[in-house]
Amino acid sequence: MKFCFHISRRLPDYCEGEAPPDERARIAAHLGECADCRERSRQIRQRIDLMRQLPLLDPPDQLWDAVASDLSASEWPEPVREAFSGRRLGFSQRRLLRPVAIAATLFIIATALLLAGRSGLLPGAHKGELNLAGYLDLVGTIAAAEPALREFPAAPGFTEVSWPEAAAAAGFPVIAPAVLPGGYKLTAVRLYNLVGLRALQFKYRSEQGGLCVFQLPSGSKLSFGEQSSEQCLLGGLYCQRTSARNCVAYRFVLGETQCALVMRQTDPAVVDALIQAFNAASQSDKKQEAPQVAAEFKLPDLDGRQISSADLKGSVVVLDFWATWCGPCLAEIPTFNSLRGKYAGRGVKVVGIAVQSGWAEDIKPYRDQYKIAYPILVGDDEVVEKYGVIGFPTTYILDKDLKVHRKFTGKLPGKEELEREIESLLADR
Amino acid sequence: MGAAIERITQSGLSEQLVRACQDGSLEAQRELYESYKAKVYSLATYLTGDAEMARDLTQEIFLKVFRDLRAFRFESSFNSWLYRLATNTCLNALRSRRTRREVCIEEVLGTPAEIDAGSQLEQQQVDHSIQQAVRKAILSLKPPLRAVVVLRYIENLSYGEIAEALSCSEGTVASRLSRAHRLLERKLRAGK
Repeated sequence: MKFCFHISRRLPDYCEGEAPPDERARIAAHLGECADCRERSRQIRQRIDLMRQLPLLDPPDQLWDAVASDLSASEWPEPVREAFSGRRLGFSQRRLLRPVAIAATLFIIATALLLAGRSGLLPGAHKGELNLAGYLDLVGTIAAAEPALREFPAAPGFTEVSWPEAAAAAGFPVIAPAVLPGGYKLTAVRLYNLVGLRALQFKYRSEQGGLCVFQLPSGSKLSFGEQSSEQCLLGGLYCQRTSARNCVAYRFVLGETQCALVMRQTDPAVVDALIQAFNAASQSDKKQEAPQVAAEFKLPDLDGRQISSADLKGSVVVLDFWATWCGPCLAEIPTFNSLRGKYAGRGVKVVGIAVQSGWAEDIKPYRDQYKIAYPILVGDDEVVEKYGVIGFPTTYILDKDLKVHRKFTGKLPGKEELEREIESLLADR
Repeated sequence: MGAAIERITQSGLSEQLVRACQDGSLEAQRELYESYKAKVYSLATYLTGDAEMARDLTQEIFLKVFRDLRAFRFESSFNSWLYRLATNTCLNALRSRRTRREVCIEEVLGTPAEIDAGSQLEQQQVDHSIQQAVRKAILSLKPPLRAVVVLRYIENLSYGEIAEALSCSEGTVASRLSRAHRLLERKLRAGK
């Protein structure tokens, strides 16, 4: 099962030969299997060629005269220290600061290694326990140097994996909405998988900065070393709030999943909204046990007509979240066409929601090429967030009251199982 | 100092020339200007989309270069130093510009008639319209993404040099390029 979502983000680097060798091999293997990503990489190369053909431009001939005239009229004090409008240091100052910067970097690395070892995040340390004390120190040190903290550091011992790999390896319900309030978007998933403990780290980024969330089974031990915690009520959940230098961690439990949200100190209202989003996503994932009404939406189809979820009420609905650049999504189109043909007269509607695929005009060629026989709606970030879509394809089966009956993340289990689910709903009065 | 000289040489300038500029030699300053004028003016033009503003910015950038060059200690690449100064100046100007002036593509690339003067090659007209579409797509990006694209594909800087010019990590450069490509793809498709 390949997820094009992660690969597609690295294609520009790959096309330019800037991807690291291991990643390069992974992408090359994927391209060997996925015609769409091959096509995307061909388009990226073509676009790069086009941009490289843009000419360098010469300024007007008389410009040097203007520069020379200004030069002769200028008298500058010696020496010039502030080279960048007060925003950057002069070179001499930078030379003085360089040893300090090197020492600080070495200190950060040494501290990180020391604390990571102490915290159980490295092999050979206390197994079966996730101690984030070292990680909070690491974040705090980095945040001191970069207040915005745009790039949240990876926790030592965690390795980057694709979403399906993470979900398959976790062994507990994973709750990671693709988008969080405040414009935070999921950028990376990392897995810690050593004897006695499996944990995930999700990195999110927004224009303002980053945050990360650790998740592990609710039965595993999560601690923050010697740091003291206080209880607070946020997002409708009781949380343990642990303050550290330049950052704060909120620990909360959602069913079988234990979470630790780590971010810079911020407005409690923001944290409230973030934890609420995780809580909502967790509830959404439980829909299979306790059916809940699917989120409402109103989206345009490829001809510009607005279709709302209410229009689907009274039918069993197969809702496919897909993307034009996602090979596995395209591979499932014949299954949906077949379901549409078989159940069209029996009160079943198949609807595709294309997301991250541009506008209707961008999607139409794919509808034609793959002979999609069911309606396609143009999705947006809002519907992705509402439905907790974290990868493609994601398929929902809704009953006639638009309650969620099943949700499939990734490749579908098979046409027969889908038909069984649909038949059970049709038989259900 | 050897490495410093090598870095300077790599950028196409001799250390002597830079030192002469630091000493205020107008002749050396003219030579440095001639070496970098197209790079700086192109950067300003492709970043602002405004030929008049690009002229003013190029003038301002070279004045800053010759003023601040006296503090240059040959500890880093002159190329990166200049690009950082030039990019910051352009991005600051874009930030302070309250209303964006209309982009005048012809002013920058020349009209099809000017390009075709003396030759009636149809291919040149096709190339021109493709270049216009690409340029428009680049200008539709937000300045931080636009800067990465211009530095990478028009100025031919490496990821490391771009990171130094924009004071960010190479990872940030890669991530911005990836986002820029997604937006450019959408823009260029829409323009077809």
